[in-house]
Amino acid sequence: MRAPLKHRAPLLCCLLALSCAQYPPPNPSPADRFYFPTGLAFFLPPGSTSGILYVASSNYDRRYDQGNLIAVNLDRMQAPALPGVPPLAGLPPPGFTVADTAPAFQFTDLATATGDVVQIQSFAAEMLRDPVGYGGRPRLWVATRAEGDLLEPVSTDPGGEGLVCVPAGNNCVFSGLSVAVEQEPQGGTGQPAAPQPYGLGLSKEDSMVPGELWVTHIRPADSPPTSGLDLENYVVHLNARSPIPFVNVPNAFVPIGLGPGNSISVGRTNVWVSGRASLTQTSLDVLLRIVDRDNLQTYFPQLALQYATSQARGLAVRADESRIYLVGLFPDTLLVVDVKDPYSQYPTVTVVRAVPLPGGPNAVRLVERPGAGDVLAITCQNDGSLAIYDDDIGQLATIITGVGIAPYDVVVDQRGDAARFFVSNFDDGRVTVIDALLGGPGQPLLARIVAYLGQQQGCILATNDSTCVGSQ
Amino acid sequence: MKLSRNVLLLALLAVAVGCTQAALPGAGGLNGVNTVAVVRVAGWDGGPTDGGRLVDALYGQTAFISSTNTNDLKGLDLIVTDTSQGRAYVPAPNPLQPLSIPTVDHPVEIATSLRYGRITTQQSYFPLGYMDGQVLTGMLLFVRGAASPNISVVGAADVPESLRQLTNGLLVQSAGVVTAISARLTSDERNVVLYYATFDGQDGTVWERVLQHPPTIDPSFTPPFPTSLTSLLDCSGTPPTLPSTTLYLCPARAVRTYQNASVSALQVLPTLATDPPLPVLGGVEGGRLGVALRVPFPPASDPTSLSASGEVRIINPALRADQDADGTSSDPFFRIARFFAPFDHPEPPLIADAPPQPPIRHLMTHPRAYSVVPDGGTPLGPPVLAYEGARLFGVLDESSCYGSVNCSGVLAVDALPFLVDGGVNSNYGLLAFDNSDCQEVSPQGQVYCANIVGSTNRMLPLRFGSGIIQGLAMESSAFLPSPTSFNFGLIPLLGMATVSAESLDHTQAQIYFFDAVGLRLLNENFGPGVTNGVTLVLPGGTQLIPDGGAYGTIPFITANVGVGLYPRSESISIINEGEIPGLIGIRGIPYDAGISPDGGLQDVFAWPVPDAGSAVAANAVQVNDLLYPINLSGSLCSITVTLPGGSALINPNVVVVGVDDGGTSIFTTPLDLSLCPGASGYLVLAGPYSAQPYLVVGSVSGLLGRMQSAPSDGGPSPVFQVPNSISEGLGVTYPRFFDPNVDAGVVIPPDGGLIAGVASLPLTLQIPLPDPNFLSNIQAYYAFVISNGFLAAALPIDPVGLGSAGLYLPGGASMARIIDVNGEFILAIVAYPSSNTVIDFAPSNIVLNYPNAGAITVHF
Repeated sequence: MRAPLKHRAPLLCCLLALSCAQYPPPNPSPADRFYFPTGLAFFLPPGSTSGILYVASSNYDRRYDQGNLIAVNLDRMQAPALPGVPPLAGLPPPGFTVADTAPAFQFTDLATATGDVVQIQSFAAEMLRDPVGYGGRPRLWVATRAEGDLLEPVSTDPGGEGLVCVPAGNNCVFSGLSVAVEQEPQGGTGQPAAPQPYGLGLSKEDSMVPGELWVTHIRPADSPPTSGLDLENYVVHLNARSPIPFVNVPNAFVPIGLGPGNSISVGRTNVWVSGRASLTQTSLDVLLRIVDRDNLQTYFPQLALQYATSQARGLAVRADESRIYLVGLFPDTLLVVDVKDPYSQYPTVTVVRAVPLPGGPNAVRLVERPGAGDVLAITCQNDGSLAIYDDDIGQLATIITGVGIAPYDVVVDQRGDAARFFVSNFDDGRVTVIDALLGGPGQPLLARIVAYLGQQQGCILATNDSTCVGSQ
Repeated sequence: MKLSRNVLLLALLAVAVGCTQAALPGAGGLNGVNTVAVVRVAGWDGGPTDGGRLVDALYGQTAFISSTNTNDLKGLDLIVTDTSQGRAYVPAPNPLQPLSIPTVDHPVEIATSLRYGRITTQQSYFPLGYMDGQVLTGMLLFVRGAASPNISVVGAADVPESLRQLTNGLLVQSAGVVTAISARLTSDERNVVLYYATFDGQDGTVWERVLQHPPTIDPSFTPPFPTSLTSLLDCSGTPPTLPSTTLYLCPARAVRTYQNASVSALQVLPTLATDPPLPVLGGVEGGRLGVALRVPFPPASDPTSLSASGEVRIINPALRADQDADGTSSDPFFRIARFFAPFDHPEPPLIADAPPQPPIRHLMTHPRAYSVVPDGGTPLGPPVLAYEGARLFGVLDESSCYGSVNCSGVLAVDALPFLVDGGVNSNYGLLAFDNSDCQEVSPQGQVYCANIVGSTNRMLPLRFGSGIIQGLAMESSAFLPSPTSFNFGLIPLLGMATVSAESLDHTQAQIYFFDAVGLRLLNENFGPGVTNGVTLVLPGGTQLIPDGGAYGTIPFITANVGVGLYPRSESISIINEGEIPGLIGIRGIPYDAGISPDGGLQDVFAWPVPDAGSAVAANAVQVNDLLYPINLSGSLCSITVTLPGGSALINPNVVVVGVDDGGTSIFTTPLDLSLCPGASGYLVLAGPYSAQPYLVVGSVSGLLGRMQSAPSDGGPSPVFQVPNSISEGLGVTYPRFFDPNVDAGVVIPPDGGLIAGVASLPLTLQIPLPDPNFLSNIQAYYAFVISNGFLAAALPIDPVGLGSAGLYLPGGASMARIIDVNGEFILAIVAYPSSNTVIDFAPSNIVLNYPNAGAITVHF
């Protein structure tokens, strides 16, 4: 028997009141697509055909609660049939041939499974993979710039899948390491701190401290917090292979002066830091700073006195540290920098070439070719392209246009004379796969787009676009 | 509303950050500014009364600027027709916008169709009203893109139908990315010969394509200009007759292939009477071609100094190709242009066992230079100093020497097989001679050498400070403001280079001028040596003027500066018991504070030296120097001692008895450090009883060495010289960067030694017995300012006066002779990638080595 209305009305009010007091339902980033993808990492496990690609989605407009990190098993993805293109299961291995002119595959089904996704904080920046990690589980590290200023370590199984936040769980926002606790308005002193961590670098096995993670950040730390006073930037270093990583305050922080760092490369004895704009016209140039890993002193080689781009973005360093490739902004330029005495505290750096780049260059990835000159892949956000520089001719060898909207990061799967570049397209929502022949006898350096991974995010963003109805 | 202090601070911060940003594309729409090239299209002006005449720029004189982000060219009209107007961009059909000519993507190199011939001039030095051998161009322009296999063909005559990329004017190559282009206009202006190079991953190939060119200088020519290209499949015979709206284009012909090398630059050279015709269209006028090759790996014979090698070849495309990259060619016209010794080669084609050379990344040649002088004494004619194309200039590839200065600068090789007197040029294909053996004296008694072609000393690389050479331009008979140093303002062949190096406040000069006939930088300094007298400065600030004798007419300190060897003008100090730079405030004391296991003091203390100071310790510390313990704050240890009649505070020190070979430890006499509680480090002073007790320190150079004075018995003053064991130990070298004027026949050594009276030591000093005030005061010093005798002629920009803050990174440059309503003058045009702008200025209107604003026009 139903309760009389007069009895049911208070019950309904009660329910309404209860429902009003509840939190909104969880709204995690989707696991079947990328959303404002930024940082990338790649791993080719033994026996795999095309490997595992790790993609950080930055959730740039905060449509979801957080961003996420997806491990895409490239052998498992599905590309539906398109006009002129048959369906395909799994990305074929790198094997670009000049005669191959087939349209690019559209792998819209990432075929992600449980354990392929963890939630991370929004505004993800750079990502890297530490093949050693801890306890037989390699680790991924991703820097995120939203609340908490978190570094988020994620471990994987040896095969590259089975993502777990370090130390546990699948929402790394709860387990991430803040690099800016002193920036807390309540109780923080302001410094040292690294708000908005951005760039990551990992020391090599033959360096003075293997497994050491170094981090840059974008926003200067002020003191006291929120005061806008006494600004300082830092690089942060920590042991990436401890069971439970931690940031030692203040010892982990090395001041590097005014001007945010962008990208970072950890050498045998020095850390190379590219930098964004100086704060004042006459302050020391920050295109490149060098931190001595032993005494933690920062050296300003004043690269802008040789070639004055206004800012720098990505940088790549040769394994022997004899040369640095630095992406300059305004004007958009690839700076080729030779280094003398790279293991001393004060290396001599000389700009030896400046190559104009397509608009908005950001990330750079170096491919060292045995017996031939270096190859560089540079994402160009404004141009929507990937520029490839060949040191054998001292010029750009090819520019892959139509990569996507705002190409951000690039990683490489190099196999002999062939290479596969993965490019995250920030405003597009997809990752572009570009296969390349790295050149050789009678064979110029060539590259073409062979696939797109994921779905375009345009219809998520353009909610009033009638052509998008039913597409999500 | 009241803004909080923090908000204001953040706003200021944002403004400051904004100040370091480059400008957005300006009104001209330039975006990704890169290179600039000037086109001047002559034509026959059929006057109604005089029957017509040839007009140099009838169809425009335009500077084309490439924009890599918008894939187009903009044209700056260089000819002003109304004195109330300035130069402006060629307008689009909608005149509010500048015309944008689409090109190949990311245009990075522009090649004009170039020839050398007669132009009109109003200069009094050319009474016949013309100059021969000057730059002329056709109406076709070629544009190469970054990483592109394509070349754009652009119509460049300043008439509405011409300014466009020609239909079918995108030449698509299949042999790989195009790495260099250059184009020659035949003397009858009926053909253009385009040369371009491709790279296929291993080999570089030079290609040739012949195009038709409208004979604008022919009285029969009338517009409209052709607007398209028509490709021909066969150019072995005479071409078909085509409508005047289109130009024929011959198939590509491979001219040379260079194995394991890429072609980094091409430059067409003026046609000689002896050049055979090309095997195209039954014999198109031929000509030589400069080819810069780059081998992208270290040469086996010199892998430590060169990471890549190269050479410049002067080839004749009409003749059989040289196929072998190792130089074993049988091509009779084959040359290798060599920069480094040995130069005494057997004549063509090769130099046996010549060492590897650094590659060249840019080539350029020049118009004819005449011996003009500004004081009215120009000989009739005037005589030719250098024919057009006499030198082939090259910019060294800075990336080929592991960052060393050896791969920087501009070089020139002789590129004509004959001299101006008609004789054989035995130096053809080799590094050119500069005019440092010149002693030309003006009526005013000043040495000037702008009108001299050298024959004795091989040129030095023209270097313009650090950074990258961005642009290079040359023009004949150009004025610089007078007085410049000893050149009297009129330069027969003025060179201009733009460089990337700058200062943080963006005021350092980045535009330099050089004498392109004499192959030396223009020196604006009056002379080397002490410029401001000598002052003795005592602790506390008291200053005395030392007397060198003869009532002050004899310099107290004798200083000789090697012009072109000592790199800077600066203040020099000679210090008594001075603190040795690099060994001040050192942290570290002897192990166990020098206490032996038995509790006593060790006989010898070993003071540790950090890595950063070891080179100084090993080379600059001498026996009998003094070491003072210091505490954490850097203060000297102080001890109160009892003396007869009271007590006194002293700073204890120890005497240096030696330094280990690596400079890692300084050995001294012992000291009871328990007397210095808190002692944590030390500093070292040059001791009064050391062999060379006085430090020599430059305000910019830092520690230059140590010296001694004349002895008290009146003996001669020992000579202090740079370089010395200390500078060598510190790794400082003094490469010659400028050759002084010397008597003809003197071969200037690259470094060291006094040759035929030419100062070839960078710096020597002699000091008599010092003043007692100097000897009795620790850290008293003699101070004086020296001039190094060299100041490169340069154009700094005053960004404040100009109201344009983005001019800190110049790019490509060009110069052109203009005749318009403002008269006849040379105009320089410089692109600025840092601000997406272009500036122009007349070199005659600037002030050298002084911040300029008024003479410069910025085109946004």
